[in-house]
Amino acid sequence: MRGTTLRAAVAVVTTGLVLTACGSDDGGSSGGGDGSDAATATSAEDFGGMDALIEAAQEEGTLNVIALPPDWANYGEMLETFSEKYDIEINSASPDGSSQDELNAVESQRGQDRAPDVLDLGTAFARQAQAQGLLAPYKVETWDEIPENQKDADGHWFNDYGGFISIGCNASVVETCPTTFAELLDPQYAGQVALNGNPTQAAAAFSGVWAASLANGGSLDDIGPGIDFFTQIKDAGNFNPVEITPRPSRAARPRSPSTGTTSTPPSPRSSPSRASSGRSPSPPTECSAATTARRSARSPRTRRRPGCGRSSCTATTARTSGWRAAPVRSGCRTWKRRGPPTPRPWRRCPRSRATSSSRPTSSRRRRRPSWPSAGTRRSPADHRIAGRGRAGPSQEGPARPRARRPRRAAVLPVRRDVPAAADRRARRRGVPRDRPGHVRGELVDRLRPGGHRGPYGRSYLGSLQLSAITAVLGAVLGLALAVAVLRARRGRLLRRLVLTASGVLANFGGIPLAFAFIATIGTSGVVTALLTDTLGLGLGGFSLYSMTGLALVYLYFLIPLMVLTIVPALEALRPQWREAADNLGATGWQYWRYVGGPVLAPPVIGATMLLFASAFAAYATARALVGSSIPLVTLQIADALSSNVVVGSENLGKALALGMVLLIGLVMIFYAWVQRRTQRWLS
Amino acid sequence: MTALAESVAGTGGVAPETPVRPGRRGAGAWRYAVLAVLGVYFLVPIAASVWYTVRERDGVSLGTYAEIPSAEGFADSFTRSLALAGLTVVLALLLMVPTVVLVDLRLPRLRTTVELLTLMPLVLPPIALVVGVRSVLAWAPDYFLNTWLAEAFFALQEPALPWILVLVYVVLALPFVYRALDAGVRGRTSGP
Repeated sequence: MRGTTLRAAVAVVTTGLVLTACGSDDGGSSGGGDGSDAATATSAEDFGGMDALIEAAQEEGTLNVIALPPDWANYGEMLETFSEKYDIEINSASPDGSSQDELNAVESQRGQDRAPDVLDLGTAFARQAQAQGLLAPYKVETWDEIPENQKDADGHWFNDYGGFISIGCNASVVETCPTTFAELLDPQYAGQVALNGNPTQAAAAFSGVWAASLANGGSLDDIGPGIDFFTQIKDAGNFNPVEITPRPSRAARPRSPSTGTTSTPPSPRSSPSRASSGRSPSPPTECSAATTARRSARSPRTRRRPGCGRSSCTATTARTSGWRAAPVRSGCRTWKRRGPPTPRPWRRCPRSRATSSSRPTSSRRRRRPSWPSAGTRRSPADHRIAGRGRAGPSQEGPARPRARRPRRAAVLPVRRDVPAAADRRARRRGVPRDRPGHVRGELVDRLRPGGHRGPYGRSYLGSLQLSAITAVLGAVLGLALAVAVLRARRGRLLRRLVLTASGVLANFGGIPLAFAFIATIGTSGVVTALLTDTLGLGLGGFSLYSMTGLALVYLYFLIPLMVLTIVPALEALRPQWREAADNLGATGWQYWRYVGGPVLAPPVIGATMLLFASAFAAYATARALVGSSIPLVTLQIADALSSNVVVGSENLGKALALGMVLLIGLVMIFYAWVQRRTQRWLS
Repeated sequence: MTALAESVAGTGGVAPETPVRPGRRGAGAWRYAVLAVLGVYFLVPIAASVWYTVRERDGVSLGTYAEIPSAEGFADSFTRSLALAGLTVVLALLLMVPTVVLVDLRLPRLRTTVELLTLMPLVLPPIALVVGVRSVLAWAPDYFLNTWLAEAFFALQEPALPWILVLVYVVLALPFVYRALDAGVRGRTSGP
């Protein structure tokens, strides 16, 4: 508790959404009021006032929110209160999602009814989303009360709460809790330090890195020292890539790291975690508080006719606190939605939410309102909404709602095109490159081993190496196993057993496999505990969460695959050949060198290629074990698809995928050629 | 040994006094070593994960397993997974049985082509397939908004039962389905 820094706050801005189809140009009218259409409205007044907004929202009936953990920042109660007060159903998607998940949902659910109406993002993500055109401007009712430095001038987002970053520690597991960042390097915390999330995707974890930077001489403009610090922790063997989740973890559950930086409301639920603080030089963060709610309602009627919807939300407002807000720390949740003309009308928000009365949570969570006078602030804010209609990528500007916009599909606009195009668009819009986003990009780069150069080339290289090594090892071991089993006298039962098991294990992969190994030689695995605690040997520098560890895990499904593939070929080796060789006085070596070897070579090479392809394409296992900390193409593709860190990354994902297809294609052609040669011998 | 002796001396012959290759008999030790090492490698992780799920701070308990059925979201996800798997099997069979029979009986010339096509999923890393599918799904909001096609695309992604997954799973299962069916059909037609 001494503070450290950052927590990301989140605020929600809601944006708008809906749009309707107002036929004529700017929409003039619409359903709920005389305001303009929901897609372009930037305040409740645009819809005819708060009452009209509420009415429209009720008509729509539902509000889609995302990533609002019920036990964080009192969201659970806020959602309930909102629902009751306005009689609007709230559809709360992935409550444990990260900021990046929210942005991904905006993109991937564009046009669908379940697309989020409002977002609660870390500040850096909010700025990034704004830069990417994912947010629609909307000023809540109490907009003027929000300090200038806590909101986007155009209304794309505002800060609604913030917090401190501290080091949390499970006192039932860790004897001496760390009190400073430097202590996290202590060998006694081996394998026990974790961030609560992937810093490239979750604001809280990102803030943790930033806090480490501030604690190590960095500044708000330089996150480098924080990255270096975590590199040191990793090199020291203390870092555990597991992501901390707030879920209560059973004592027995080995895997959770016991210390970690957590952001604010650390999970209250879990047990004894007490926060100690890293001392960080940084000032407290500021936060703003707002709650927001917004609901969108979509009324059926609107869909059919050009109506307009509106959304409203409430946000509470902010008052400034005496602290200075550091840009970084505050988060905002923003919302954005610009959609094609969607008729999603409205959401209204309750006015006071969260605030005073129901705030039990805050103490639990240590959420800190930005404004000192929280009690007073009942701000109803309304929210904004807005969606500008935009139909296609090309459309610029608030599009005018298309004339018929039937469904409520709100489309979220989104950047999804090519990087180049996105850049161009951004330039056109005059969107400045946002600093946090930038830093985050750098973070992403630096988190990958190898520095700045050629992350993609490195990932291909990493994948090729890993696949080649595991394929060869798997082939050798699989062949040895196959031979051992086939040749064993009295081995019928053993043989059937091995073949059956191979059939099962060859398809064993992904999460279950990763779990099995984590339970075995993960940080707190059974074998790890045996070697370390009981025998005092340690793992000798071996880490499951490394390339070597991954290779060990891959072999688990590659060896059985080899056995399955090679057994038919081995069975085709006729015993008579061996006998004939023996009769002629050949030694064992000569037999394999001149007879067995040449006959078996093609199928063995072919099978090795198959193993290579299989290892190369493996994804879930690697993801579950190492996250994206190791450069592998499949991980990189998934990152590119799910990450907005780099504008245009989706196309990058496509390019990487095509590269994989080509590579595997070459391998398979070789495989086919080898197979053909084999047929000659085996027929 | 007897087989070997017979082959050397002929049926009814006299076995040589010494085995042809006396040294071979003891050479089997490495097999046991291989079996032992790999046995440990394969069994320990399974045992460890089982242990991991039952151990508690003080002793052993099956509580974790008992909680599964009542775990939040378990029933939903489990039935959804089963439904996806069942639909995948049905769809794959509906698609491949007629194809295999037709190819076998009427269009043997297409056999190679069909075989190559069904092997594609093995060539194509699943993640690459996903990249392609996502791109196609993105057409809905981009180009077909407000048309029945976009509605269809959205329906495919309905979280309650994502049909898009069934479609992708069918593609991924093609190589296995085709090979099994093909072997069966060929075995029949090439028989008596």
